[in-house]
Amino acid sequence: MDLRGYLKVLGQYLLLVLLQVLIFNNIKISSLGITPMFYVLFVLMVPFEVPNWLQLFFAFVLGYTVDMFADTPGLNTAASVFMAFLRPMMLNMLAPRDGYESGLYPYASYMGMQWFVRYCVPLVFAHHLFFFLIDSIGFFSFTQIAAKVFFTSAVTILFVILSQFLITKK
Amino acid sequence: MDSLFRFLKKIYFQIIFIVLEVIALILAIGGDAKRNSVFCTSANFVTGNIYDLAWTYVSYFNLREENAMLMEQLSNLRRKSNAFYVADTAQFRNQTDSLGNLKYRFITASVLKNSINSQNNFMTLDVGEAQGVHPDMAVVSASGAVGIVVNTSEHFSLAISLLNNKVGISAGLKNSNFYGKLNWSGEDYHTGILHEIPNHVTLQVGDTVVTSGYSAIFPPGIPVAVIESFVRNSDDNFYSIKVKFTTDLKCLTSVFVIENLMQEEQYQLEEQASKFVQ
Repeated sequence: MDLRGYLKVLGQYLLLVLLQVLIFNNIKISSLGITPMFYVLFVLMVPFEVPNWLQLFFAFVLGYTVDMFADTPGLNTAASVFMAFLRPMMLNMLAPRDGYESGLYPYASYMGMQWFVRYCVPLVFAHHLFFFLIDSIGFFSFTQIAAKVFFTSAVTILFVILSQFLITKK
Repeated sequence: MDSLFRFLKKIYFQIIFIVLEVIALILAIGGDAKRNSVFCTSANFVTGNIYDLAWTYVSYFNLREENAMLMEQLSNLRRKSNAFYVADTAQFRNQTDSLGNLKYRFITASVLKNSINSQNNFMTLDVGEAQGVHPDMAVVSASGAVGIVVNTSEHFSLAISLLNNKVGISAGLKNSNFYGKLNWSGEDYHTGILHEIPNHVTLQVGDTVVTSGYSAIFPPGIPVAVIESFVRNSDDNFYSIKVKFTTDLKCLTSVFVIENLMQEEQYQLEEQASKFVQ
């Protein structure tokens, strides 16, 4: 990938962090305080060509930044890194028969909505599950975690999929 | 040696993952709330200023609630005003001025950021050391106690919210002087649990729970919650009391930070006492 590609990734990072901390962190649905974690879209949208190990570092920096704003040291970082770790496996599972062609991006506009849904749902769910498991250490309540993981995943996935209607092919 | 390199080349992705994950988990789990708040806090220069900038726009959206709250405060103050009391001039009394020493100082602050969705919630305020804020000061809204300042920078401060597993404040019943410890239930943002109230006290749903003032952080008598339900435990001699916070921590915009001007003195005295015991 060339420099322009990486600058685009940097732009996405800045945009998603700002959207998350200034808008999405203020959304608190129901008394459980469900907050969509829209920033995970960044991990989903990293281009195919970026090496897997570099994606881990991207996810680390992303999670760390969100943590800094949310005063939750390590929490978003751990969940994002976990998600970036699972992503290559997910991409392998969903790969077309002759692999991903160059010039493609993991967006619904390139890969199709059906592919994108199958790609984002398990990853977002894994991220949220990991997030709430760590968050609940020392305060474990199964039903509460299950409810939070389920509802937050639903809301995040909704926003992530809606975002795909705004992203068009070049 | 060659095979070792080949092996490392095969699993370097997993190794990097484990290293990064361990760093994140140490941050997330290791250490208490106070140390974490020093490490990674929105009182931080960059994050604080971004929030401050956003606040200048966002604050307009809350003006309606803000006004309603201020009106309520105003009416409360009016009720206390001298004009509503009759002077008792029938008898002479010799009274020295008992209100000479100011004990609590109030600083008004805006809440720049406030979370309710984690198990350990914090809030960021727009006042800092420049305004005389320091750790261990009480944060109180117009309707009740909401948190304690744990960390400060030049212009911002970070307060640990009542909605935090690691916080317990000394609180008691308004009408009977029994006191215990108030914690968050961890379930939703308006329920707390009051511990250590003995079984023989008469309780009623709707009773007000106020701060005890024993901690030298909160002034006594600040409302925190009202009793929602309670159960007598047969295995120990204390009630399980579920309370509802008087402040809606979901929409918190302006608060007071309260400084106890005699806190240092009280702490010193208590420290000397604890030396005696040992």
